[in-house]
This record gives sequence, C-alpha cells and structure tokens, in this order.
Amino acid sequence: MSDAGAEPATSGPPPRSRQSRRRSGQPRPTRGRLAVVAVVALVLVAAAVTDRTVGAPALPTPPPLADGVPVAPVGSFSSSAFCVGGGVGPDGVTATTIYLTNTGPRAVPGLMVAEVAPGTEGGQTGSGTPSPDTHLDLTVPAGATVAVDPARGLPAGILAATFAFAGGGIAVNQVVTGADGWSTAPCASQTSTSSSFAGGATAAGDALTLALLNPGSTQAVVNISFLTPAGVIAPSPYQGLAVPAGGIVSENVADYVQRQPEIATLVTAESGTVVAGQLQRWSTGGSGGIALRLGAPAPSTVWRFAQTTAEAHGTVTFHLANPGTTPVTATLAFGLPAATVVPLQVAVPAQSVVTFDASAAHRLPLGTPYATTVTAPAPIVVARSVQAPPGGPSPAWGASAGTASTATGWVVPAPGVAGAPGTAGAMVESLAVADPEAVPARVTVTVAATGAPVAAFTVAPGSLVVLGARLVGGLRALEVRADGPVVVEEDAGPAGAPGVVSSTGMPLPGRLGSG
Amino acid sequence: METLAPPVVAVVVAHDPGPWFEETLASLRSQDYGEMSVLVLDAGDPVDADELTGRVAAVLPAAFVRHLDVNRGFGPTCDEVTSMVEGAAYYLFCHDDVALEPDAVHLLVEEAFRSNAGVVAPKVVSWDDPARLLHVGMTVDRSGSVGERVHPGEIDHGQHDAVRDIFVAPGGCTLVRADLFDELGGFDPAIVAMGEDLDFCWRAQVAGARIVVVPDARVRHREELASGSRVLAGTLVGPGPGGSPVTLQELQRRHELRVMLVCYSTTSLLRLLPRIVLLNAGELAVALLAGNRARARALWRAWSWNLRQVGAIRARRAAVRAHRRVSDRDIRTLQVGGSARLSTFLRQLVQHGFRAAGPDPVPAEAGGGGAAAVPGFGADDRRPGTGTPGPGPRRVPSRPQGRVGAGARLATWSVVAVVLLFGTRGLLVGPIPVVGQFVPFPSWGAVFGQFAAGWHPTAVGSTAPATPAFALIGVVGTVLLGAMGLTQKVLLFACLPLGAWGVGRLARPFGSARAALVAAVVYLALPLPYDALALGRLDALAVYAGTPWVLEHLFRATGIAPYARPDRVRAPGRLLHPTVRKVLLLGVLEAVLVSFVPAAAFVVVGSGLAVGVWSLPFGGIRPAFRALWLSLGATAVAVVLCLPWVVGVVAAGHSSLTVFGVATPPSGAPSWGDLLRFSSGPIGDSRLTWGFAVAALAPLLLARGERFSWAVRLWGLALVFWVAAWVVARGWIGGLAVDPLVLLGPAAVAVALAIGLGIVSFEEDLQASVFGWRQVVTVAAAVVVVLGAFPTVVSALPGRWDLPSNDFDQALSWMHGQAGRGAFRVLWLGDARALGVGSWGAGDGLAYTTSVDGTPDARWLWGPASPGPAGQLAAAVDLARAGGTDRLGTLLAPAGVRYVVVVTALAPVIPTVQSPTPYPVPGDLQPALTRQLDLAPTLTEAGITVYENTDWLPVRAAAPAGSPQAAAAASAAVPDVLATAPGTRIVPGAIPVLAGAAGARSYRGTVPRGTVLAALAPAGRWSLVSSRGTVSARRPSYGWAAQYRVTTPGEETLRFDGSPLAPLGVVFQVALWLLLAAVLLGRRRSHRPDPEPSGTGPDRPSGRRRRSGAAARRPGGERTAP
Repeated sequence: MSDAGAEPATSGPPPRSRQSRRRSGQPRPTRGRLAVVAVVALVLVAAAVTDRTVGAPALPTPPPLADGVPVAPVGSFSSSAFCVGGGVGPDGVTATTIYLTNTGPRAVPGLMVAEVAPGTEGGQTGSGTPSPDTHLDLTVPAGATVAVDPARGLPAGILAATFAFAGGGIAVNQVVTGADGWSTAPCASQTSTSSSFAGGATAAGDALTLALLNPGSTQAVVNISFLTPAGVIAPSPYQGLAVPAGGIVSENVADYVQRQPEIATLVTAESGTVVAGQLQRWSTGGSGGIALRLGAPAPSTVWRFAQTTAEAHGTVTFHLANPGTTPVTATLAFGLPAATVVPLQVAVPAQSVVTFDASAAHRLPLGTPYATTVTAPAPIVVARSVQAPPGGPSPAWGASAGTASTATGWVVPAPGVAGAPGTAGAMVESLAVADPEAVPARVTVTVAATGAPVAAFTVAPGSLVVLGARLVGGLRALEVRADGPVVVEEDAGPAGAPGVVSSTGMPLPGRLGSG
Repeated sequence: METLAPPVVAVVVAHDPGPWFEETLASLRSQDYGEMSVLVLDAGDPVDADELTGRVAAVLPAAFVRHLDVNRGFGPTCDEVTSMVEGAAYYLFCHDDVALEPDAVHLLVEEAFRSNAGVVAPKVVSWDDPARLLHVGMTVDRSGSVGERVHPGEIDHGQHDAVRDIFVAPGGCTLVRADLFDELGGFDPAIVAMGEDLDFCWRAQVAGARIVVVPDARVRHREELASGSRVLAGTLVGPGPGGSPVTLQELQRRHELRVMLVCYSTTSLLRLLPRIVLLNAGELAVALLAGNRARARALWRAWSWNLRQVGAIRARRAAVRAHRRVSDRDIRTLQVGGSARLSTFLRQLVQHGFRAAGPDPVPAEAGGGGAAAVPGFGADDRRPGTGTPGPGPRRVPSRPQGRVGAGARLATWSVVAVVLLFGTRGLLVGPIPVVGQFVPFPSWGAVFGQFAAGWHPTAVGSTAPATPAFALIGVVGTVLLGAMGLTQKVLLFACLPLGAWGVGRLARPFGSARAALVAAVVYLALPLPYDALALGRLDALAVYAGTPWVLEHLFRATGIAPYARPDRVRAPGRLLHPTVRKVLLLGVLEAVLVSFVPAAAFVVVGSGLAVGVWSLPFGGIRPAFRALWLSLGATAVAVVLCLPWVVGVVAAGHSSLTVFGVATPPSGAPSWGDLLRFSSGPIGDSRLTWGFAVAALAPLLLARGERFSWAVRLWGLALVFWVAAWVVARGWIGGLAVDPLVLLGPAAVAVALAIGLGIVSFEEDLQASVFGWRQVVTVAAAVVVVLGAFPTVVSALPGRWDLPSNDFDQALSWMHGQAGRGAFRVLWLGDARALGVGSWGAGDGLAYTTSVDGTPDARWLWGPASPGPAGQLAAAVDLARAGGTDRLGTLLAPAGVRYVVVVTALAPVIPTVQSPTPYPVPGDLQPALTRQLDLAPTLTEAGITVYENTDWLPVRAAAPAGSPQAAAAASAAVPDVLATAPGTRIVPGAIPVLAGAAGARSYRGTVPRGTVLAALAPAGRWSLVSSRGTVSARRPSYGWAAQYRVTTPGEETLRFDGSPLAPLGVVFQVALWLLLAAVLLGRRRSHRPDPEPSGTGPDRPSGRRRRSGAAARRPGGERTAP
C-alpha cells in the first residue's frame, strides 16, 4: 500500500487546485488524517466517560460490630464465646446458667474455662492475681441447647466463662438469677478494644459491677471512665488497669462513682482486647431487679429496640450517653403498627448522659408495643430500662441494651431449656421483629433445633410485628430469617412488665447490615 | 670544518612507501643541521629493494640503505640501529611518511641539550593541511591509555607553542638520546605497532629521562597507517584467538595493557589493577550493550594476550626494575588523573549525543603506528588495520534539518544531567530505602545460590526453578566486585539514561538530531520513571529502560521507512541469517527483561501486535506480519532461554498468572486521566503533565507522508497500552494483573517519540507553509511540553524523587534479633505493591507473602508462581476474615509463622516528615486479626501493624518424646484448637533446634530425644541424618511438613536432597545463554574473509580502503605487506 501522504512523482504542472494551495501556503491534505484523529479522539473520550461513569468497586469495608455477638459460621475452624458479668454471690445473684445452642447440623466439641475474678470471692469485687480456673470438656449436639453451670467447682464471686469450640454455629447466652429477679443476656463471641454501657446507677440501693475478661494471650491494659450528668469521672486506679491474659477483673463502680443515678461506662483498651459485662442491681422501695448486660463494642449513631411497651404506672426510660466532645441532638423515632408518631428530639451534652422518659410522652400509646430507633449525628450509647407497675411479679425492673446493627438472620436463644430453665418458670413471652428499612420485610420464624415453622409474616416498613406466647412461648431457641434487614428482640417472663427481662437476638453470619 | 654539534642519525623505516617518500627524503636533505646522517631501513617487499635504493639514491645519495629480510614492525626494526651505528649522540626515528621543516632537527637537538631531555618530540601537523594539529605530545592516564593534548582537527594558532614535559613522544618523528636508547635496550620487540612509543617513553621516564615537546620543530605526517591507507601486514601480528584478524584497536589495547603491566612497580600494580579491571569490565559491558563487538573483542583479547605473555612480561619487569631511578609516585604526577577513555566517552556523549558516543567521531591518529589517542567507551573500531574491514561509515542524515550544535547538545544534556543528579542526590549518596521492590540485595553468593541451589526459602520452601534474574544480578555483582549495594544502585539508576538513550536511537532515523534530542529529553521528563522510583518499582523501571530497545527492533522489523534496512540477505561471512539474528537479539533482550519483569512478555508481544495492526493501513500486511512474527519469535526465544523457570511457572497451573502480577484493589486503580498523564504515583500529579499527551497530538495534525503514518502507529501503540493498563487496573480481565506502571512503558515511548516526530514535522512539513494554525499548534505543543516537564523538575528538588527516607526495614529491624528463639516466618499481608516482593493473591486485592527470620531481601523478589503449602496461610487468613476462626495463630503456627505484618502504606507514615502512598487493605482484615485470641499486636504505627503469634512453633522444632500434639500432627492437617489454650505453643514443650540461615540447604545441631518438626517444603526432599549416618524415619506433619522421630539424642543434620534435574536445568540454561552470546558475538564464520574476484589475497583491503578507490588505484600506491 502506498503511503497516504507521499507526494506523487508527477512531472507535469500540478492541477490548478494544488497550485492554488501551494500559492496560499497550504500543504496538500493527507488522506485519512481526519479519520485517524476521530478514532483517537473517540477512544480517548469513550474511555474517559467510562472511567467516570463506571466506578471502581470499593474495598470490602469492616463489618458492623453487631454488638459483639454474631454467631460464628457453621463451617468455622474454631469459635469462642465469652460470658462475663455473672456469678454467684455478688449483688444477691444466686445462680448463673449458660446455654449453648448449636445452630449447625453437626455436634461441636468445646472446652469451657471458668474462673472467678480475684478478690470477688464472697461477694467482694476487686482485682488481684488470677484465681484457679475450672475446665470442662463438652459437646453441643446438633440443633440442641446445652445448659452449663459455670460456677461449679468455683468459689462465689464474679465469674467469667470462656468457651472454645472446634467449629461454629454455637449461640451462647447466660441467665443470672438473684433475690431481686433475673436477667438474661447474650454472651460475646468476639473481643473488642472498647466497650460502652449506658443506664447504670449507683444511687442508694443500687449496685453496679463491671467485669472485664481478657481471653487473649497477652495482657490487656484498659482505661475506664464514667459519664454522669455532671461530667466525666475517670478514677486514676482505673487508668492503665491491667487485665492479665486469660484473666478477669471485676470492679465495683460505686467505689469511685458514688450516688450517681445515671452513669455511662466507657472502657477503652490501650493494648489488647477485652470483653466487658455489667451487672446492675436496682431497687427502690419494695421492688427491684437485676440487669446483666454486655458492653457495646463501640458507640453508634443508630440504636434500635424492636419492641418497647409502656404500661400505665410503669416507666420506660431511654438512657443516652454522649462520649463525644460536642453536644448532639438525638432523634427518637417510633414505629407503631397502625399509627404515626412524630419523632422526638433529645439534646445530649458533650461527655454527659441524659434520660428520656418515654412513658411520659403523650404521643406514645400505653400498652401498645412500638419499635424505637435512636439516631444521632455523632456516635452515642443508648440503653433502655423498664420499671413495672407496682404489684406485679418480680422482677419489677430491668434494663437492656439496644442493638446497633440489623441483620437478615437472627438466632434468639431461650432463657433456659426444658428441665433447666434460667429461673423458675422462665419462658419466652414474645418475640418482636421490627423492620427499620423503607421496604417491607418478609419474615419466617422457625425453631432453631428442628427447623419447624413457627410463623411467617410481613413486617411493614418502620413497623414491627410481635409474636405472642401462643406462638413463641416456652423455651425454644428460635431462628428468624427475613428477606431484608430486621431487628429482633425477645421478651421473657416471669417479669413485672414487658421489657423488664428482654434480650436482643444474635445475628447469623453473613447477614449483617449496616447500622 | 669540524663542528662541535652532536652527531645525529636519522633512522627512516621504509615500508613500500608511496610517492610521498621523495618528499620525506628531501625534507631530511634540507635540514640545516650539519652533523646528521640518514639510515633507511627497508622493511618492505624484498622484491622492491632495488627500486627503493634507487629512490633514496636519487634524493639522498649519501644516505645508507639497509634491506631487512623480514618486517618486524616499526619498533623492532628501529632496534637494528644499535648494531649498525656507532658514535651517534642522537637517533631521530622517522616514519616514511613524514616531512620535517628544515630547522626541525636543529631545534630538537638544541632543546635536548637545553632541557637535558632523553626524548624530544616535534609538533606534528597534518600533511595536507599543516594548519591542523595532530600532536603536541601526548598524555597517559593511570591505566596506560594515551590521551591527546590537542582536540581532533584543532587549528594551530600557536596556542601550544611552549616547550613542556610530556609523557609520550608520539611516534613518527622522535629524537632519542642514543645512550638512553642503548641502555633501555631499544623498543620492546613484542610491540610491532601501536604502543612502542608509549612503552619506550614510560621506561625512559622510569629511568629518569625527561621527555619534552618542541613545538617550534614542525613535522608533517600523512598518517598512512592510522588513516587506513596502509594496512599492517598480517604476518606481523598473525591471527587473533579464534582465527579472526587482529585490529589496530586490539593491538593498541593489548600493548597499553602490556606497558602498564611492565612499567608499574608491584605495589602500584596491586593498587591499580583492580580499578583497571573494574573499568575494563564496565567498558566491556557498555561495548556489548552498544553492540560494539569489535571493542568488546579487543578488550577481551588484550587481557587474554597478556595473560599468555606472563613470562615475557615478568622478564621485562625485571629489566625495568634494573633501570628504575624514579618512583611510581613521581611517574604518576606526570600522568593525568581519572580515566582518559571514560573522559573521552563522556565528552563525546555530551558533545555528539548518544549515537555519536558510539563510534569515534574523529578518527584518532595513531602516530604512525605508535600509540593512538583513546577513543571513547563506545567507540567502534573504524580504523582499518590488518585487513579487518570496519563497519560502514555511520549513517548521516541526508537532510540538513534538525541539526543541533554541540554546544546546544552539551547545554541540554548538562541541564538534564544536573536535574537528574540533583533529583537523585539523596539516593546516590545514601542507602536505598527498603520500599516496594527496592529490597536489599543479599550477598553475591546468596544471589547465585538462589539461582542455582534448587531450593529456595520463599513461601514455605520451594524447588521451583528460579528466574534467571538472580544470575544476571550475580553477574553484575561480579563485575562490581561483589558490591551488591552498588549493584542495586547501578541496576536502578541505569534505567533512566538507558531508556533515554534508547528513545534517542529510536528517533534518530527520522533524520533530525533535534527531534532525537527532544524525544530523549521528553522521555526523561515523563513522570513515569520517577513514580516508579517513588513507589519502589523495579519492574516499571526495567520496562522503562528496555521498551525503547524492544520497539527499535520491532520498528526495524516492519521495514517501513525510515526504519528500513537493506540487510535481508545474509552477508558473506555472517553466521546467521539477518532475520534469525534479529529474532535472537530481541529474544535475548526480552529474556533479560522477562527475567526481571515477567509481564514484559506482554509488552513485547503487545507492542508487536500494536505496531503490526497499526501498520496495516499504511504499510500493508507484510510489515504487520513481520513485526508480529518478530515479537512472537523473540518471545519463543525468551521462553527457551528461561526454560527451566518457565516450566516451573507453567507447572503451577492456575497460579501461573501470578507470575505476571497479583491483583490489587480496583478502588486504588489510576484513573484514565492519570494514565494519560503517566502519573500513577506521587510525581507528576498536576494538570501540567497533560502537556505530554497533548503535544504528542501535533504530528497527527501536522505530519505528512511517512511521518504521518508513524504518528498513527505511535498513537496506536500508546492507545493500546493505555487502554490495556486501564482495563487491567480496573480488574476487568480476571486473574491477569499486570501493573499499570509496567504497561505504561510502551505508551511512554510512543508519546516521547510522537513529540519528537512533531519536531520533525515542523522541520519538514511546515517548510512550505505560510504562517497559520499549524505553526500555532507547534508553538503550543512546545509550550505544553515545557510546562509538562515542570512538575518533574520540581519533584527533583527534595533530592530523592519522593522516595521515603524511613522504611519498614528500620521499624522492623528488631525482628532479626528474634531468631535466637528459633527460626520463624513472617506472614506479610497487604497490597501487592506495598509488599513489593513476590506475593500471591488472597482475594479482594489482598496479597500475601512470607519471609524468614525478619524482613525479606532480594531473594524474595521473585517467588514461585505457586505458593504451594503456603496457600494454607492465605486460606487461614481468609477464614479469619470470614469470622471462621478466632485462633488464626494456631492455623499459622505449623508453618512457623511468628509474626503477621499488615502493611497499609508504602512506608511508615510520619507526619511532617513523609507521607508515603497509602495502600489500604480490605476493611475487614484488621478487625479480624484484632479479634484473634492468639495474635497479640506488637507494633502499631501508621502504615504497619505487627501481630505476634503467641502459639507459634519454630520452623525447626523438637517436641518432647510422647507429645500427644506432635503425634496428632502426623495425621491432622491443622492443630487441635482445643488441645492448647491461646498463648501456648501448638506443641507444648517444643524447643527450637537445627539453627541456620534462611535459605540454607542443611541445618546441623544437637537434637534431644523426641520428635523433630520441620516446616520446610517440599517435605519429601528433606532428610534428618544423624552423625552416624542413620536416616530418621519421616512422617507427615500437619499435612505438608515433616516430622522425624529421634530415638537417640545427638548431632543431627537436616539436609535437602536436591533433584539431579535442578543442576541440569541450571547448566542447560547457562550453556544456552553462553552459546547464544557466542553466536551473536561471533560475527564471522572464519577469520579468513571470503576471497573477492579482484582480491589481493588474504589481506584484502578494508572496506574503508575499498571505498577510497583512488588511493588503491594510484600508480605506485602502497601495497599490502605479505
């Protein structure tokens, strides 16, 4: 092929047009130039447009912390559970029972190591050298729930039980029982570098115990501070507090934060990771209760409670703690099955705590469960306490932490198994499923052990569905699956009112949603 | 009348002189010095003896003529005078092609008396143009290389007209004191030509004699031998090694070396010889790179010739020692410092450009068979000699356009050199930080060991053949006398000039020196190489350096003007067909590139494809086919040259692609704009760098004819690689993950060349145009190019091209001290670009690799394509990320992993000090590792987190007898997580044994009774042997490792039993490289050229001489000596 731009070897006079071009100083056009320039421009522009319109996939983001209680995948090589805060002796607790629910198809062998926090024997709290521990080899059969008494063979005191499993799919929760009532809480499946609690109190008649477990292989060093309505309290003995590897440390908060009706606890690990639990004994007049809670791994901008029911003469209080250095205004949105409530706003000063009495809000109907979502522009910590109307069964008071995460699958362990209830007469009273998203969620509830269906329903956006005792009553671990992110909470009895003994579910792996 | 003037005997060595001889004789006759007699020594053809006698008699009847039976060369012939002449005070040794001014001898003798000089030289000027200086004495450097005191072609303005001491009196016409000549035994009989004057003058000075030049004494010289008009007789020097003829260059090199070896004292020699060896090695490398085989051969043969002359040299040294009156220290004060040859090369480089630095731009005058001034490193042997035709004359652009004056070139390259040196100063004088692929080179032996040992410690141990890059590094390290730090710097920083040199060569065929200069400078101004430096990317630098050379081969293969070459037919005497030779040459180049950068294969093949496809519209199918064929053929050659390694890579199966690169997160991929600006790093992140791509559009708009077609090809090439880099970076082609920086190499060359082509278009295509938009486009292109270079220039200010000064190697230096508690591995997790060394993908843009006993060195740069059992480490990490375990340490412990290091930046982030490029890892990695109960954070700083595995097991450990965990390891793939608590070794009680260095192939030590666990793969090739020779039984351990039962404590050796195929592969590979080098360097089949129809026998005139046909046909013209 001849060169497109080559001069022809003509000997005669050039055509007129060429002559005129030469005269005007214009070179002869090169054939194909426009086409080439067009192709180059097309490629450049097309790639530029594609580059801008087709965004590159982002790196996987860290999964939501999920309150530290997600159930390990069934096919895991290993998993753990850390139950902390219970015990025998302190604050009138008389028994602690741990329930291991295997959601997988195979039996999972495990090992429990339980120990009592040094210095708490006989109901005292404190820290010191690790006390002897007990080891228990166990196997959790497929689809079964196993009850374990961690205190067996140990002296009285605040205890922690660490479970190691050669597999996954085990959901673990614990129940503490005492003279003032009982409480249930999930056990952590992960450690974290921080832990937060809202809604504590050390006023007269109250007792607040903080327990820290370090299941890691090296010592952890933590700082503990407290938020009160008056500001921050950071006791110097709690700064640089060492938690030995595999050890537990228990502290009586009232030793340094005295007579405070509203306390938020912040635990931050300088090195290592820990699991924190808090046991609150609350009493006023002739009624009271206890609350065992697992610390939230981190403050969050969103907190959810699947069901809250305010009853006449009872009290529902939301406790909001702002660990940040700037004030925030939290918004409380309420979802009801057949009504719309304008959200309420609560100002939370920096590094302070406030309470919001939901039962006093006229907009919220009494006796009707509603879902609550607390949002804030900066991370906060939220808890809820419920005081039952006078004259009801014990316990009359209880508290629970909300959940910062949503999921499409949940395991809801029961507060006991047949033959070994967490407390006498313990059973699931109700199960609430709330849909915080803007689209309906199709939900199926089954029995975790057998897969037998319990209920299937659709939850309206922003609303909730509560399954009563007729459907979910008893001591069966339940599994909730939805086609969208939902929030799950169970209410257990006996208790003076709904919400006194309650617990969120435990998210199943791979189904976590963002807060 | 009797006179007191000392008698002088003029000794004229005649060798079949031409018609000028009468003028020579007449000049002697006309001397105003009365006491001079003339002796003519006839070393020519005996048949013509009578004719010569008649010629002498006709002019100088009083002269004596002696006919010699054999021609022994100028020096040895002159030695005859000692047996023939008595009573002379001075000898005046003359060639037969000089003409003396009438007062020359008078002035020489006068000055000899005045200065008490032993040797006196005149000013030597050109025979035809006496205004041009040839010599005013000569200098010598430490290595014996002779240098001129005048510039080539320098006009005589009297600027050198002062008597002064010199080191060498150039041959041709030299006055020597007779007693000195006798005492020193005359000239060296072994030096037949090229260097006898150097030898004599050096020995004279050792003996305490002065050597001066008398510029007032003028002598004209024809330079018959040096100019190639006269051919040195083949019988005088005989054939060289291998039968090929000996060139003048070769004679000069070997005689220079001989003189140095003879004249230096032993102490000086010991001190200087290593330096000279180093310099010669460097020169050899440059010559080979420049394709100057004649020079390489001359160098090589100079050494081999002198090594064969050790006995004679020793005898000469003894003679010199006997006459020594002046120490070497005083001698050295008369020599010039540094290297005359290197200085000449650099001078030519800056004055005449890269290409001109190759051949000697001005033929050096050889002083009529004496020492010749040194040509540069890259100088070709263009002086005809003993019938060896030199290459044809350098191709001179036919067009007058685009000439660049020497001053402009010098100024340009000076500025470029200053910017480069200034910008690199921090790296040149200080250590190279351990960033990315800039990992320290291990010892010379370790590098070779990595190549040849058959086992290397990467991953958890591998027997996969190593890349030849290790051998090549070892070779460079050998040349640099084992200085591996220097080797690293040379390899890194040589890439910049090498790439620019290649682009300059690539642009030169367009006929504009200005365009070549601009293209080379633009190539240096692109941000690409500096980003590669800033990001620690050895692969990108290598491709940057090599791509222009690859493209030159491909462009020439198309046969499209101006790259067409009329060498499609095998030249007589050529060993290889030109096409085969081209394939082999590019194949070798590709093999070298691929050894360092496996992805360079895509560069070569992709370039061939792009050049071929974009040649279709303007060149037809044949050029396209030729380019593609050449690239594929070269790739096949490269595959063969790297065969053992390639076999190892292919054997890795689906992991083979890893060898080209590990996938990085698409989220961090450079944008399309970044690619067009060649700015995918910290350098050049400015809108100004758009200037290069914009300016490269100019030839598309302006060029005509062949220049337009080449502009299209260049843009096609650039687009292909831009798009390829963009698509690959986005992760749209699956597992193939070639780094964009590597793929940008051809695009960079294309853009630089297109900008150079724009210059040519301006010079050629706009000549006839009146001022209009085209001129505006040109000016705008020039402006944006200058602006585009601005960010690069600014980046030079800090002095290290943004390469961090603090590295993780410093932060983790403590790790090396931990090996005392047992050998351990480190698992590195992060972006493959941050890890730098060879790694494997772990999903989501995460890569992993291992090292032993601390941070990795260059042995980990190129790991096996398949991680082997180390893949279990990635699976364990993946499990942890998915929440499938909180005992990751337990899973990693069987491989001896003690530390897990997560790298999230190129180097430590130190506010206000350095902000290295971040390389984020998947967000779920760090939380997952933090959750692990048996991983304890040990070091956390911005850019890096180190976790210690509290459950780790030493790589070589001994478990106590009866250990249930050790017994369980024989049947289990992973440790029992319930058997030990976090913080406890997976085999309680295990102790480290069999200490040794990483990469060793045997470990020896005392071992207690029990079980020895060895985490070295492949386990089947390791044996535990006791001092008594008992081989312990081997059992599997954790699926892939091995354990040995030791029943009797004592000395044991864990040794690697290599496959016999491994050394065979190494031998095969080395032999293949050497064979190919020999084939490519061996230019001729035989030293005897093919006879020609009009041939004059074996001593065929050189090519140059053939071209000067007038001289050859001249009646009575010189004949070649038999």
